Amino acid sequence: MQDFFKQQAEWLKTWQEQQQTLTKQYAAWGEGLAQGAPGDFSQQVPGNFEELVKAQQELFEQFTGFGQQMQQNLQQLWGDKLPEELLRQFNFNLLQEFYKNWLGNMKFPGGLSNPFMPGQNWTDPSSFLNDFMKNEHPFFSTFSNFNMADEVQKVFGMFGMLQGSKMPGGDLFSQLFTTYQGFFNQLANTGTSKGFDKLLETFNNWKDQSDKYLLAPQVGINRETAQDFSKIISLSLAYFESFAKMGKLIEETARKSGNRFQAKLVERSLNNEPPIKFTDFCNLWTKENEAVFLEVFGSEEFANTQADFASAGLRLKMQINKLVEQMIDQTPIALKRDVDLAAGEIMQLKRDLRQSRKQQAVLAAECRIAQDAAAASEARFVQMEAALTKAQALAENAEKTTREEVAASEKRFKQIEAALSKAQTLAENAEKTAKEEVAAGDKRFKQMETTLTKVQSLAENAGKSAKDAVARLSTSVEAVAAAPKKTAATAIKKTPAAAAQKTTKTTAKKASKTTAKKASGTKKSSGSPTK
Amino acid sequence: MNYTQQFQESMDEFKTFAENLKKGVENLASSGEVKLAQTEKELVYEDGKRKLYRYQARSKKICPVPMLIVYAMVNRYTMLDLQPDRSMIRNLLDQGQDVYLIDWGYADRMDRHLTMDDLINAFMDDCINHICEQHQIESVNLLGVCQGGTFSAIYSALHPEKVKNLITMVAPIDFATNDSLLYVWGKAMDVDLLIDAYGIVPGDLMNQSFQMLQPFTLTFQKYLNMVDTMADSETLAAFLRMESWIFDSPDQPGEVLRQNAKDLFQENKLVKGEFEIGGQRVDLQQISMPVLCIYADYDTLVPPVSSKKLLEYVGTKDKQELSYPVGHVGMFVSGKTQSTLAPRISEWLNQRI
Repeated sequence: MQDFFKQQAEWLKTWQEQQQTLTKQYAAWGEGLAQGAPGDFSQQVPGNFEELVKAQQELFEQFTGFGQQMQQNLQQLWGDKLPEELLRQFNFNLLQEFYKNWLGNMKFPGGLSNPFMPGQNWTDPSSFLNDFMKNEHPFFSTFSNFNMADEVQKVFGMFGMLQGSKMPGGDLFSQLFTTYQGFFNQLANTGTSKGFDKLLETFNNWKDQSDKYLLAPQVGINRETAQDFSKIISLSLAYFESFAKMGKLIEETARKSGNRFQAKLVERSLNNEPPIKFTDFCNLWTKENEAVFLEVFGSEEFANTQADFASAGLRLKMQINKLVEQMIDQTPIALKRDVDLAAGEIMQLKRDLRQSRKQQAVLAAECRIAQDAAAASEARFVQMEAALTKAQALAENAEKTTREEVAASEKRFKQIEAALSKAQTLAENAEKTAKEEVAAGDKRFKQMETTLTKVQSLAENAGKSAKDAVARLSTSVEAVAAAPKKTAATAIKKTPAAAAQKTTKTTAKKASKTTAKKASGTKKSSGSPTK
Repeated sequence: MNYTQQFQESMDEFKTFAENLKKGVENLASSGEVKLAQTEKELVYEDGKRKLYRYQARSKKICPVPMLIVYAMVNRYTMLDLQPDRSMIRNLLDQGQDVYLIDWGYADRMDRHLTMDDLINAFMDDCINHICEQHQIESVNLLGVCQGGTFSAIYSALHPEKVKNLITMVAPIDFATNDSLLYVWGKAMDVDLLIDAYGIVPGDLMNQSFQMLQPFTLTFQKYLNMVDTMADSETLAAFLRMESWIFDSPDQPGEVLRQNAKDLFQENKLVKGEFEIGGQRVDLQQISMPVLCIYADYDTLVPPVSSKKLLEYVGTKDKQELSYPVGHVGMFVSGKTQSTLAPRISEWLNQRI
């Protein structure tokens, strides 16, 4: 291994020196080109680029013949379908040939150390992998040379169960077991562990060297394409690396499951229950192996390793897709991205169409509803018209009735007004009468007052007269003293004085009553302060 | 047992093996074309590759509410009608179910941009509208199988008024579990890279993942066992039918797979109430119709816990679970389910019509 690193260091040193020399040569070559100097340019081409330029020259020569042939083919195939201008631009063969030459020229100066076959260094980027597969790494060769799916299909393809094909014949039984036994023997071979370690180590070293090489200045008209190819190689390395990691994990698991199977086999033999029948043996083998594998498959480590492996493969696939698309971009062949774009547009159109249909259905439903509503409105309109006519008639009747009622009311009002006027007149008359009555009452009162005064006066006179009469009578009595008392009494009764006295009393009484009555009558009248 | 006896037994076994193989090869040679999904059906609606079939009735008394079966996209619906005596569809028809079925077809590059929204809110909805229109009804019974069960649950949450009863069979709903290797691997995978690289993901790639779930059984033991049984033409025919179904894996539309893997497997958005299609958030609480959740106890593809968790998230109170001691595929072809599964589904439905 030390030799390996020593060799790498030497290689790097050489490579750096070459780069410096080449840079100088390139600068000189560039100056010569810039000055338009005549002469044989090939003599001035820098060493490392010599191959590249040579490749370009060869490419051009190849293009002349190959391109003509392709042009003819294209004319036959597409000539009547595409414009001539486009046909002239077909140059995918240029890229194809360039790639071929470019890869052919990507040699490792001095070769890459071959840990498997010392002394036989690799000079081609892919040769080490081929050697690795061919030689002492059965597990890897199992996966590379032995395609499990193909084998299964080959062995059981005769059953017509995978793709409907009929049996190819052959010693199926032995084929089955030689292939499977071989596969699993290789899987369980402890030697493969070393193989994987070595493989990983080699990958890493090769990757480091290749990265440096790939990072060297790129020149030429196809610089971008060359870089894309470089990326493919870089991604390939990452893919191989992840594949090796995955393989190592599977291989470790296979060893573990193999041990477990053997342990179980021994255990059953010790218990005097060895699998006698072949089918029992296989069942045990399947059961024990699967248990170990499923335990590993369920682990986070496996999930991540598998995901890394898948991702590395997918990245590589995407880069290859990209490059292939670049190469056929000028041809009339539809690219994946064109198909994807078209598919996207078609899908969106379908969605739009569906949406439109949905809207159309909604509008149609709305239209139906509107039509129904219009018909219903029409019917309602007719009904309303009839109702309106009826209402108008009713209104007219009502108006007439109202007018009549108004007239009647007016008439009644007038009657009431007349009655009111009459009542007012009556009231006025009553008031006048009342006033007159009051006045009459006043007058009567005054008259009564006067009368009373007169009566009083009369009474006073009568009293005076009576007194006088009494006095006279006294005198008479005294004079008639002798007359019997009965006669005297009678005589008194019959005298004018007594009569006057009696009259006075009666008059006074009457006057008193009149005054009271007057007072009462005053209250009932206008309420004037007669008193 | 001495070595002579052992040798004699081994020779006998080998002789039997060789005889079976010889007879089996003869059977294979005369087996002819492997035919699946032979129950009669009629194409009633289609949109490009996606089709809606109606199966011919096999019973006089027909359930008034039709049943729409939605299968997964990762394999073909033919599993439900593998052969006459192992056909869930026939069994449902015999029970008087009026069965419709969605066939997603084989996706190709033109389906690169197809989304879950296109499948669920567009095609599934169109199919259900078509059925409702034909039967003059408002809603159908929906039976979703595997990924089709996830689609059906999503549809039922978004359009509950169109689903009379929902039945999910071995359907992945809650992806938090790591009980299945697919769930473990799916979480680590760079899905964007996968979809960007392929556009349409090859069905074979998916199939390889399924094979790795039982690497020795499915790639070795199964074929070895086959030799023992291939002498019997009927058993061989059944084996070939199953093989045809297994390797009949349609390619997967990239955007559908991207959302399925990222939003469901990796981020478990459906049960978190964060899953969206067509700008609509899917709320499982909106599933208000009766729900029957059927799962397989020994399912290595969709763990039972992933299926039955649905019942914890739905809004309905009328919910029930039903399990069988079988695997994922065994749910449809096992002898344990053939005689009882369809009757139990029908009985459950009849109680809710």
